[in-house]
This record gives sequence, C-alpha cells and structure tokens, in this order.
Amino acid sequence: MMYKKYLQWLLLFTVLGCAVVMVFNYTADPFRYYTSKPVSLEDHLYRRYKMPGVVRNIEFDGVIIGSSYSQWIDPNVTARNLGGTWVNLSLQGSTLYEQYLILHKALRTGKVRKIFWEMRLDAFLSAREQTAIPAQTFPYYFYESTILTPFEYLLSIDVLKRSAKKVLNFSEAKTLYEPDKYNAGRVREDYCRQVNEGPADIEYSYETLVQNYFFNIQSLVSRYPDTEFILYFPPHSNLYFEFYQQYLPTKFKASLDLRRLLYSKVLDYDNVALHDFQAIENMAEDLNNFRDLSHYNKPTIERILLHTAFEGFRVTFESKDILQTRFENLIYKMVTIPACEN
Amino acid sequence: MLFNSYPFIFVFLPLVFLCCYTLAQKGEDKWISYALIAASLFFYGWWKAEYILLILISVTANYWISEKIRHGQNARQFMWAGIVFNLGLICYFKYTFFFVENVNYLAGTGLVIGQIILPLGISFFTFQQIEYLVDTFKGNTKKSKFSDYLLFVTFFPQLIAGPIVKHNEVLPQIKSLSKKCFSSENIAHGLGFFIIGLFKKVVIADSIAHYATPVFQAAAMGETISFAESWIACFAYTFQLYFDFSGYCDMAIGLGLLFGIRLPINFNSPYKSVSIIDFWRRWHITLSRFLREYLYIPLGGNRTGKYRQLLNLGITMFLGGLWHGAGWTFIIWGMLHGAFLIVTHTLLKVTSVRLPRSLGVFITFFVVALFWVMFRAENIDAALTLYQAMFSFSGFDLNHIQPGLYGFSMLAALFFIIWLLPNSNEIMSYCPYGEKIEPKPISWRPDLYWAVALSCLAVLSIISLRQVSEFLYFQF
Repeated sequence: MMYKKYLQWLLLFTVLGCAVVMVFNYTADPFRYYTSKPVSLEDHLYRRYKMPGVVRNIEFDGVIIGSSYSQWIDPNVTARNLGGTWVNLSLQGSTLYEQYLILHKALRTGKVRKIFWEMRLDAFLSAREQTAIPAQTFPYYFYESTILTPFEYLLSIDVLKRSAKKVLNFSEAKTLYEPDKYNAGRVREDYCRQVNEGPADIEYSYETLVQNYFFNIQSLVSRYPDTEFILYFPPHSNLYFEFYQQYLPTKFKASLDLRRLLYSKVLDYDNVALHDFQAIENMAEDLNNFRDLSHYNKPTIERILLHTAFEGFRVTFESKDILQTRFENLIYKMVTIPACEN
Repeated sequence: MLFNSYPFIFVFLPLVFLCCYTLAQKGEDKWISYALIAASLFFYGWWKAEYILLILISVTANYWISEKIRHGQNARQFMWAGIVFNLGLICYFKYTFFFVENVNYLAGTGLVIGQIILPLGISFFTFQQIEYLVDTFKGNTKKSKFSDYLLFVTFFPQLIAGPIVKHNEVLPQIKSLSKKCFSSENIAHGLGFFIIGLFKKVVIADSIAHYATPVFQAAAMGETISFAESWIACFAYTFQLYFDFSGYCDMAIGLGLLFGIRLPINFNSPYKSVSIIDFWRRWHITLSRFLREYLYIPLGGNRTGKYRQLLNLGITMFLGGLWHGAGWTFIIWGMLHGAFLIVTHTLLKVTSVRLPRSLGVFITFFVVALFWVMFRAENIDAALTLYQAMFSFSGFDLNHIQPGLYGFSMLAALFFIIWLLPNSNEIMSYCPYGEKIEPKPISWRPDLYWAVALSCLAVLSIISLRQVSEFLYFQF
C-alpha cells in the first residue's frame, strides 16, 4: 500500500472511531449538556459536570448556590418566598472557586436577577482558585465554552462509560430526603463520632479568606451591579460551635474571622444583602432541626427563606452589633455535651 | 501547551502542519522555518507569555557568544562566560529556592525570597546551548543563520522535554527544510510515532499512576504503608515514569518527522539493560551523552587512574541527580546510581565472572526500581517510610490503592511489554539523522492492518485525554 493510501485509511478509521464515540455520547448525554431537563435535588452525583448544562438549557432568573447544606433548597419554595424562577446549582463539598465558576457562567447569560448564596466556612478555606476535585479532572471546558468543548465532553472514555450505563438503564445513586433522619439523637451521635475519630484542626491563614472573598465574591458583585446577591451564613447546631471551640480552635477562629470579614465588606454594596442565620438561637438549639452537627432540614430551609423574604436577620449598619451579640451569646452559652463512649 | 492536550492535538498541530505543508508545496522553503519559529514561540508562550522573552534573551546571548568564539579572539573566555551565563540562568530559576532553604536550615537564618516560577524546559534548552558553545569552541560547528539557530533551540517538539539535541543532528536538517521533508512517508512515520507515544502517555502511564500516586502521597503524610502497597507502588511508578517520558519522546520524534526533522532516540528499552552501565546507555540517552561528553570526560573520565575515574563517575551522577530536580531526593537518587555504577565498574575490573543475561536484566531492573522510590518520594522521610515497608513484611493490606484483577493484570502486561516486546523505535524502524537500522520482526508497514491498529490506539488515546471524577466526602 502506498503511503498516501495508508494515511487516508488511518485518518478515515480514526475519524470514524471518534465520530462513533461522539455520536453515542451525544445521544446518551449523561451530563445533560445538550438536554433541557432540570436536574433533581436528589441527583447529587457529578453536579460539577451537570450544572453547566442546566445553566445552558434551563430558563431561570434566580440561582441557589452553595454546598450540601443547600442541596434541599427547593427552587419552587424559593420562588414562592422570593419571587422569580429559580434553579438550584449547589455543588456538594464545593470550594468558593467552584461556586464562582458556575455562578459566573450563569451570570454571563445575562438572565440572572437574584443569587441566594450560602457562606460556608469550608468553602473559604481552600486557595482562591482551588477545586475540590483534582484540577486535572475538573470540567473547565463546560464552564468556559469554546470550540473544543464538544470534543472534550463527547470524546471521553469516562463519559462513554456513563453513557453505556445510562443506555443500559443502570440506575445512578441518588439521595432521598429522609425527614426521620433529622433528630437530636443523630446530632449527638455525630458529635461523639467526630470526637472519637480524633478531630484534626486545620492550618489556616486569614489571607486565604480575604483572597477568596475578593476573587470569588467581590469580583462578581462589582461586575454585575444589576444582580442582587443575597448572601447568608447557614445555621449550625449549638453542638457544632461547642465542638469547634473544644476540638478545632483554629477552625473556630477561622469561622469568627469569616463573619468579621463579611460583616465589614458587604455593607458597601447596594446589590448585596447579608443574612446571619447563625444568630437564631432557637434554630441552633433545637437539635431536631439537624441530621448531624450542621446539615439542616427542609422546615429550617423554609424558615430561612421566609426570613430572607422579610429581611429578617439581615446585617445592616444598624443591626450588625445586635446580631453579633446574639451570635456570641449563642456560641458561648453553656451546652449539654453528649456523654460519648469510646 | 502539552502534546496530550486538546488545544495541541485539535488546533495547534493541524494548523501549524497545514501552514508548513502549504508553504512547502509552494516552494517557500525559508518561510517554513519562520513559520516553525513563530509556532514554537507561541507553543512556549502558551503557558506563560513573559517567558518568551526569557528564551529569546537566552538564545540571542548564546548565539552572540558562539559567534565571538567562532571569531577566535578570547574564545576560551567567551566559552566560559557562556557556560556561566547558562548555568547562572538555570541556577537562578531552578535552584535559588533550594539553596536558600538549605542556608536557612544550616545557618538558622530566615532568608525569604519571592516566588520564582521555573520556566518550562529550561534544563533542556540550557544544556543544548552549552553543548553548542563547547562544540563551537572545539571547532565542531558550522556558522548558522540566527533564524536557524533559533529554530534549533526552540523547535517545539523537543523544546520542553527533550531530547537534548546536538547541532549536527538537527541544524543541517533545518537548513534543508523543503518540500521533500513533507513526504507521505515522513508523515506516515511521524503519525505512527505520535500515536504510539500518545498511547504510552495517556493510556498506560496515566492509568498505572493510580497505583503509585496515592501510596507516595500517603507516605508523604506519614501514614502507614503495607508491604504489598509499597511494592505495587514501586513497580507502578517504575512503569509510569518510563511510559510517560518515553511516550513524550516518541511524540517528539513523531512531531519532528511530520516536519521532516529526525530527532535522536532518547530511550532504547532501558529496562532490558543487563547492567547499570547498560541502563545509562539506554535511559534518557541524550542526557547521558551530555553528562559523559561535557562533564565526565572533561573531568578526566577513565584516563586519570581508576580511583579518579570512580570519583568522576560519582561527581557526574551527583550533578545528574541535581539536574533532575532541586531537592535532596534527586541528589540522593543520583548518588545511589553513582554508587551502583562505581560498584559495577569495580566488579568488572576485579572479576572475570559475568552474570547470565536474564539475571543481569532482573537485578538491574530491580535496583533501578528501588532507586525510583527515592526519585519519586516527596521527601527523604517519605522514601524511608516506603523502603521500610518494602523490607519489613508489614502486611498485605491495600488501604490506599485497590488494583484488583485489572490492576494486577496491567502490571503483569507491562512486565511483558518492557521485557519481551520490541520498543517503538524498533517497531517503526526508526533511525535518527545519518544512521541506519535493521528492520525487526514486528515492524510497522503502511498497510491496512497497521492503519486499523494505529487508528484504534489513536481513538483510545484521544478518548482517554479527559477523565471524570467526583467529590465524595459525604455518602448519605
């Protein structure tokens, strides 16, 4: 065979092979980049891959963003309280940078009017451009759409495996909301589990919080002045604060620093509201609101949304000292510590 | 830009190739090298545009110095000035932090330096230019145009990971870039090499890394490693490194061929070596050549007595280790190889007993694999943790990796590949510029079967470029 003929065959087979993979993946579309179907709240796996498709294909003007705390924030309930059409883009275990990436993609569509954004400490503790999954596997190609995006998505063996599973009807793991699991007994169990595991405190620098704030929050706030950013501190059980004070003093200090940072920064902006739901005593003290030290139930979410709708616990120049005092009273109040067996 | 990236494979390479091919078809020969220079600088600047200036300064300074040397006046001083300039550059970017860290440790000082980002490929293009200066001083180079010299240093297939090419291997080819370089034969060979290299890198090396990386990371964090894990990680890394680096070199050779330039071979089945001396003739061949010709021989080589020869070997391997990275693990790794070389040379001199070939291969592979642990470990403590696990029979628990049947089969298959199959140079019947090679039994031919086989490898490699992972910190 002459070299030219050989090259033609090589090119033809390679292009054909790639085309077969691409067509199969496109048809199955396991990460819903081309499908205009919403992703359910129960569907918690691979949300970093699925959410860009949601932004691309679904109609909305409000975005719920955060970590697993925000998983059960129902867009319909949010719409009832805050108006508009909402979509929940929360990402389990996400860093602030990952939240920034998906928010930025949503904001670039020009249709976002409101953002309901959870201010969780752990999201601020990574470097300002760090992802929770390894950077080399993070699907940047979905977030910064280029001419290569379809190739990077559709020409992937991992996507091919997911397509095959989807076509063969292998069910993907889902989490169901189980109201029974939210009770004081489980919270105390979680406290003891963490004590027995031997809590490891973090290495922390205030600079990381500041850099995260400027890079991932303020940059969006100032770039999109017509969008209303509703930031909030998610509620935690009082045992959470007790545990942090006792076993993770550095992380506890970081949580106080984060509050101080946001209190001092966000009041400068007209398009930002900050709500402090960590200052609600009866929310933190009723352990039946929680599944563990910090994940709260749907009724708590509804209370949060109601408070937000009526500007409750909003940090303003007038309310900030009162809220801070309420918070300090709550965290330094004597708590009944569970008796843990080793 | 990496060879195994979407922008490179789907945009950069096709565009540059088409551009050069078109120029060649139109007979615009001199524009081919200009296009390649522009492409190479773009390729280099993709990562950090400001470092284009650095490489241009380095190339211009070296070219100017080489011209001064060629004119003969104060040639020796100019040569030394050039060497100091190049070593200064590499020392500043690569070793400043390491130096300050050690000074602080020894003197108890608190010297702080700003972040220095290591420019890609500086170790390669610096050595390449030192070779050129020394050879110019010896009168072994011919005068070249600046543009030819610039392309010789920056030619993108070999710019960031070698091979470390010599002027006489590449410059004559650059000077004669023309339509005939873009023959179907060259393109077919080049694509074959590139596909095999890409497969080695993204399918083999990146897959086997899953059985090495977690164990080395765990050792760095002071976690307990089991006997089984330590050995699996040791062998997995031994394969990962080889298939990663040799895959990259295969891609470099393939890319060179696409533009009609034959680069030197850098790997020649190193794990088939019968001794450590043989290993260094087969592993990273162009680096070994540099160390031999520009360090070991100038130090006196084997011409200054047997003890001095052993010392020269030790010094060469010490610096060879340091070249690989600014860290004590690399230095110790180099010294371990130096010690093994010294022992082997000594044994060869004092005894006439020769090991059977297969035993030699086994021992060499085994020792080289052991040394890779030091090379890969994050620090000396992590390396010692692994060595301790390897020789203390600390159980068979697999807490950090789950190779399963697939993983063990893959490891077994890789032993088969490295010991029993021909390497990519043999398969592709590749001979560097000015050399000849005998065809091997399993040789690539431009037929339908090879087209199907290579396109399968190509598709598998392309679809393995991207991986998917999930953050699973909380299972409900």
